[in-house]
Amino acid sequence: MEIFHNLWNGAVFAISIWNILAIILGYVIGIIAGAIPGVMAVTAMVLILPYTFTLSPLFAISLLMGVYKGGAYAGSITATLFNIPGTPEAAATALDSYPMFQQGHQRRALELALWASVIGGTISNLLLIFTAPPLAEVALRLGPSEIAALILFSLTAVITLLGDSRMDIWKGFISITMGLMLAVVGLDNMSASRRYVFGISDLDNGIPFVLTIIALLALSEVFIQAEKVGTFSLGNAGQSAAEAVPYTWKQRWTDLRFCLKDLLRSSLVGSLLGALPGIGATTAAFVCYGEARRSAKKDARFGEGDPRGIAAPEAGNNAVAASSLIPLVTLGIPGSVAAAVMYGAFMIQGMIPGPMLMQEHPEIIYGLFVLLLLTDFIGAFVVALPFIMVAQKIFKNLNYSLFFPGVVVCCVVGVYAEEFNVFNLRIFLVLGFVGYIMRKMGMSIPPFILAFILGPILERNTRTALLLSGGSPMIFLKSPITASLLALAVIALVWSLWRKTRGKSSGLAVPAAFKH
Amino acid sequence: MNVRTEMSIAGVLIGFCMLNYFYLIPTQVVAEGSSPVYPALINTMLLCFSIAYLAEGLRTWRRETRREKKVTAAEDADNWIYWRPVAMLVVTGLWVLTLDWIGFLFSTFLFLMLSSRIFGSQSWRKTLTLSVVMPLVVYSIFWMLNSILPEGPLEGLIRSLLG
Repeated sequence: MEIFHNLWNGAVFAISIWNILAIILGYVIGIIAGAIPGVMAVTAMVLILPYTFTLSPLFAISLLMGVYKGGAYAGSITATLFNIPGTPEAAATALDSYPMFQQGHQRRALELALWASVIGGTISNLLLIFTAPPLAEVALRLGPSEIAALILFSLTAVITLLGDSRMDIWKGFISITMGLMLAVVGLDNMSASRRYVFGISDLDNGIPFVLTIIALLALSEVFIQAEKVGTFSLGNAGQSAAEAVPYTWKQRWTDLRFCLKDLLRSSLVGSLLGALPGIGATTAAFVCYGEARRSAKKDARFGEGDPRGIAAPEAGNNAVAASSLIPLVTLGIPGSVAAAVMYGAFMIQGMIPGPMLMQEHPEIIYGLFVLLLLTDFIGAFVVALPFIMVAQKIFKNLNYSLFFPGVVVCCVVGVYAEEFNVFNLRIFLVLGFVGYIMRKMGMSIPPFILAFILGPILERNTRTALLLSGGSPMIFLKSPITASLLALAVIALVWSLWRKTRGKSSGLAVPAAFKH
Repeated sequence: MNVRTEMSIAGVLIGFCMLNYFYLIPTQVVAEGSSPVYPALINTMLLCFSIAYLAEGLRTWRRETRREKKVTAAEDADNWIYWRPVAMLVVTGLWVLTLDWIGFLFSTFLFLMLSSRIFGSQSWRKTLTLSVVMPLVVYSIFWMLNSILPEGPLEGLIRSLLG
């Protein structure tokens, strides 16, 4: 009953015309960013982040959630119309949405993706609302050794669950340790002495978080896109083979009943996968598609325009959005890059996400939950439905040769606006290049970013635990929770290496082209 | 990426770990009065994973040598596509380095003109429009928010004209 009482207080606090406008604006930005191949919702979130300084907390966070949710759906738009997914997770949707478009059912494909997104997002929102409070209660009882072990387990899980080969696993761990190393630059958070600053006073406060994310995600993506110049253009892609067929209300109802089981299953699977650190929407989309295909009858037409082939991955990938906030809200540990950006948004507003925030400012957290519930519906009815009517015309005329230079200008202005320091732009450029090199080497960026964000928390808790134990590392084995988490991390690593030795993939089958 | 390149990268990472142990930690951490325990711990982890990466690379290289896998001409030709990312890096670097001297407006104009060409823009009219309009819009937004972008002669001229 307390949850409903808190939700009511959160609704009273959060629902205002400004926050609704923030959701709409964010959804518009997200839907445009997510629909454009090469730009993801997370990139748009990162670009907006520095500008949220002057905004109120709920407005800023509503804006970012709108961007994320809009982008989570929007990748399916260009996937359907041009067979070019706007986001990696939409690649699973394209397998059936493009054939459906070619048969003339453009409206049906786009609306199936939209309603699947809304249903997946809503179920995930409800899971977040009802699991966050009890988990936060548990989190309050965790000591520094437990938190350090939990972070280590999270970082290990990211790599061991996703790696497809032993090389991938080692590269993933190298990516994580490099992120932890970068987080060491600056003042020691316990003794306030300088580390790795090379006499440059601008580095005393460390490498700024927003700069790092923009450089590693957005700037490196621009360099990657520069390689692909001339290889594709939306203007020449995707022609419908048949006349557009109207989509009636009777057909909508029939499709909903036909896809209901897959919608519910994919929403739950996506929610559970999203709550695990590092899994991400792309993996969830492909797992849900695979499950829908596996459980369908032999006469199913997957790959030829089966509606379940659209509903399942879309529900799954959108369900990740809210559930990936569960570790952030309850433990203060971002489990995905989008959650890491949300972490940055909270920090910019002077709040530290975690169990203490739920205790001290429940109206903010429950207000966020209510706004999340509204985002899917407001976004769908107010933004997405009108947008899909004009989407084809907009994206056929998109000029990439002007777009990506504009993105770089937005990045640089955003980085500069954080501290009005030109030195930061030099670090930004170096990190952007490092991110590009890492991606060419096959090293994943999200684990690097997660490690960079969690590094100071890991160090603080590790050193506090060692201080409490008088320098004895046995403290990490005395607590049953800590010992279990560390054992799980080791078991996950050994199991993953053993599977790769036997030539088995992680089982979360994402085609290599769609891994970040 | 071929296995030899992966092994070279592993070697570079191992070299970096050694540099960190024997030079960077003593001069940049201990000499500044900070505890070396945590940086050394992270460095040790990086060293272990780099060695594992190198070992895996060796194992794969031996397996490929037995199968006599050769790099094809098509794989070699891929190197040519890197000129655009390198050019973008150089142009962005020049832009960032000259921002303080030339000022935001003119340097951003030059950056957009050059980077659009790198990305293959065929239309001078659209490129010129973006290169003029975007810096002006951004500058105006910062002006309205009473914030300052790096200023040069052009910004000084605009300020004197607008009083």
